[in-house]
Amino acid sequence: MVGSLIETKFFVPALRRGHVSRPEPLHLLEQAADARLTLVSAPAGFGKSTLLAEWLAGAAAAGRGVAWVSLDDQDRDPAAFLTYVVAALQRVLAGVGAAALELLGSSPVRTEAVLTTLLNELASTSGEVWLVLDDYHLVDGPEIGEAMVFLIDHLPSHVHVVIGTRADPGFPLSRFRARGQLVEVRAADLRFSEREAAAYLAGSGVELTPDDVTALTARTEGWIAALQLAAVSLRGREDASDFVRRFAGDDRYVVDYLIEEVLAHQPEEVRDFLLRTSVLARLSASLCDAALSRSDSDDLLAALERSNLFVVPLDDRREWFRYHQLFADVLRARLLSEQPQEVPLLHDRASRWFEQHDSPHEAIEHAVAGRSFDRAARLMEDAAPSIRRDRQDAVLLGWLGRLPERTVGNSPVLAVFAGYSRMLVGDFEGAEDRFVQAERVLSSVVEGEKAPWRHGVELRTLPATIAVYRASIAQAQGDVERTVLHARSALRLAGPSDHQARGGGAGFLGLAAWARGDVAGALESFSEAVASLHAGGNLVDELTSTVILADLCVAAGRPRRARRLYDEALRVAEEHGAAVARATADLHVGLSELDLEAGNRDAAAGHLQVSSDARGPLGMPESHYRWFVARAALARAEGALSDAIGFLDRAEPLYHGGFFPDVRPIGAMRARIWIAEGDLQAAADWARTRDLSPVDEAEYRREFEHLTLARLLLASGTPGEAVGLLARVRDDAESAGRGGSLLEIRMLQALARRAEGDVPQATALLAEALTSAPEAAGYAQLFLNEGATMADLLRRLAEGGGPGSQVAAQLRRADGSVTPGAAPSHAGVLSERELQVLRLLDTELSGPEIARQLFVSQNTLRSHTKHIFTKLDVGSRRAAVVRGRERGLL
Amino acid sequence: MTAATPSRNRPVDSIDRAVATAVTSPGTAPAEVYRIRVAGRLDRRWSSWFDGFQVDAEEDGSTSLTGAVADQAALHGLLTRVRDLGLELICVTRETG
Repeated sequence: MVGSLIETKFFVPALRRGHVSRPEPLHLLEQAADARLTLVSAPAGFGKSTLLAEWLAGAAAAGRGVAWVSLDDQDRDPAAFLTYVVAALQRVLAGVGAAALELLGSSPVRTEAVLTTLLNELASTSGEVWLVLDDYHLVDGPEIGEAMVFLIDHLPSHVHVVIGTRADPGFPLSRFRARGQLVEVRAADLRFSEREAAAYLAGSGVELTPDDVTALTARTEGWIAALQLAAVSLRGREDASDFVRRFAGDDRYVVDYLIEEVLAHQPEEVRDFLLRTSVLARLSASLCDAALSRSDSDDLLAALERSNLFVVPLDDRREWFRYHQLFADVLRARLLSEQPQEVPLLHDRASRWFEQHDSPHEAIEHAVAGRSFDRAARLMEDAAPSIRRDRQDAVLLGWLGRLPERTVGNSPVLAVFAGYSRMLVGDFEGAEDRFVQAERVLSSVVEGEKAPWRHGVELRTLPATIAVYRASIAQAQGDVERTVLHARSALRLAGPSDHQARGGGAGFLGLAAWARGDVAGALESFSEAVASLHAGGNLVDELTSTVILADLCVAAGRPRRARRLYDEALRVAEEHGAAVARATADLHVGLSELDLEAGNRDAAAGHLQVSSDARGPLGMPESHYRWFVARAALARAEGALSDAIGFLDRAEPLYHGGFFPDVRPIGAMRARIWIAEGDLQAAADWARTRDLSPVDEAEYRREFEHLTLARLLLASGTPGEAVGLLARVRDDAESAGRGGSLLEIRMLQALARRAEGDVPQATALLAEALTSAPEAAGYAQLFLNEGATMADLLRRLAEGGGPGSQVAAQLRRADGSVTPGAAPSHAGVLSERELQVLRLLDTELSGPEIARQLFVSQNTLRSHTKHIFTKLDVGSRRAAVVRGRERGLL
Repeated sequence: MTAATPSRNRPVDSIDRAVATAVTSPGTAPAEVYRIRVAGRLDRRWSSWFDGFQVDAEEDGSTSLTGAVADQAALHGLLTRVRDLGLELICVTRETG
């Protein structure tokens, strides 16, 4: 998307010659330059853009940042809109926006996460900035409106939003008004007074008597667009007063009358040029030449600009222009009524010009406007691969909506996309209909005949793509068998370099295996999927999938392998910095869980801190339920049981099932804490609502709950009931190779035996558990959570000196009450930003210089430095550098 | 889009045409006929711009645009065109049902 941004949309309109300064509305704006939101709301042709340009020329001259976007109806898609917003800010604030743009590249786009990331970055900048959204009426809608309100509500005080619009935006203006956060300039403020009209006309070289000025102002009601047109007609006229009198006495629509006048006085050639080029949203000489089959558009455009005829330059080089929207509408309406047969021809030639000039979006716009739907479909097929690569699915889906059903149905690539869009909204039948349609069209091509559609990479990978979508639907419907069937067929159909399809197929195979509890199979498939994502250059997905792989390693009883995966992923993430901040934050949460499980609470706390630092001061975006789960586990390990419940309560609403089996339900985690607190009634109530029973069959989906129930039975003094359940769950875990589960089950079996009073047998079972697990030491917290009874069994085992005694001793050392915990050794305790700061502390740069280099305020820098000093346990810059060297951070 | 609508056969009574369209497009809800009144006098030629709506001069100097719309979204599209021309809107009434 970044590559296809239209540069001219960032251009602050140039002030025209003869433009009249507007001290009164300008005063309104300047008076409240620090308002959060400024709204310039008035109909077309009231000089909104000009007023804003004049105001901001002053602001820019005073060294303030102006991020301008001229919106168009392409930006109605929230992702496209936000991309322009971020890109505009990026132009005035170096170092801002990379992470938000990265998020905008992922699908589906999570607007709030994008905004949160952007706001965090804005908060660390200094210097006044105005974000100007001109022609906002073209994009206003519920989704963009909601995003704007969120943005405005959280803006740092040095960033201001300015909106130019023909209709009031759909957000709660009264609330902003009541809080004094809104400045408004409306039509009444923008109408030209007689004095201003006189000044404007004189500046345009029109001499009028005061009476004529009065009549003209009254007839146009101070509407600037109309005055401008009148000035064009009046210039050089001998009979100005006659003109004004005739105009004032006519009751026709002002613009109709005046354009008629203007056109009547143009040479036939100019008149024709104006009418025909009005179908173009923007004009260049080359484009006009192509669309009108002429070769002198250069001269004509220059002449139009010289004589102030409707054209607005869009850049400094006088290459691109557009007509003022109001005039363009009038000209188009005329063309439509005078030469309707010309309209599709003009669009078709314009579409071809844009196609040749690598502007597929505008080529498609014109093809659709000219009703060349088949051509539009071919252009969309051509554009599909790059759109998919940039994950701008919404753009393609928007285009589909503008094609007739028949055109979509006749293009296999587009039909599959239409099916995909049905799938996203949960209409699985509608999706399948589209896939079948695409397959039918594909197979209907007679051998040797050329199919009408494009033979690009999309078409080649289509059968594999359909299979991936079908696997996805089967997975969503909980049909494991069909998920496997379609995922396998995707892998069979995909070529070696179809990374997207390969990754999808392997991913769904992995999910199916995981849902069955086949951890080893899931690990294998997910490793393949991650390799494909890597080969396809899909970094964010690759890093996010690392968390799943690591979870599977832990389930398989291999936490060390999980740690290696995290370390490697963090190394990759560090190379990409802020762009993958969200993934980095997730990786640190995973590491926190590993450290906690291994009994290293300090390191676990450090990773959680780094994780929230990576997300910035605005806190947790919605998806971060796992941060709270990890925080709850830490609180529990620290003995703060009610805090743990509190964190779980916060995690719960953030959890959105999604593709992955819910292997650690939050309700069961809470029940485990109740059991530890001794609130057995609450835990029993939970077990009842979950319909759990000691005689349940074992199944992976319920394993975590069953092991929670077993603890409840032990705590309730009925170990006999737990024994049978544990035996069944153990068989299931053993047959599926879930080493992590097996360790926990065997530990609970030892506790059950202990509860029955057989201490030697319990100790023997525990020894067996520890010796048969390859990495039992990585699960220290699992044992610590079981409290005094387990501590006693571990002590007996350790002191007994037999098999398992060394591991038992190791586990006991992890308990802080036995030996002080090891100091955190992981370099990740410093956030990436802090590491950056530390590196700069190791230079000759002064504080203010470092702040400037990092584009942060001195206050922000100070808080980073403070954190570094605390984390490194030092009191000065020099000491921090020395300690950093000792720890290998520098 | 009205780009391909031949407008030489004017005047076609827009209401009749709208009803005919509604009858010949099965599966769609019956079209509603609306009248939009704006201040000032609009030329007849604006008909194709406003999706073939009939343009009539009223005695009080205003102009009414009358025709059938497929649905509410189409009506709002027309009102947006009224807004974008800077026309002053007087009223919108439904003429059917």
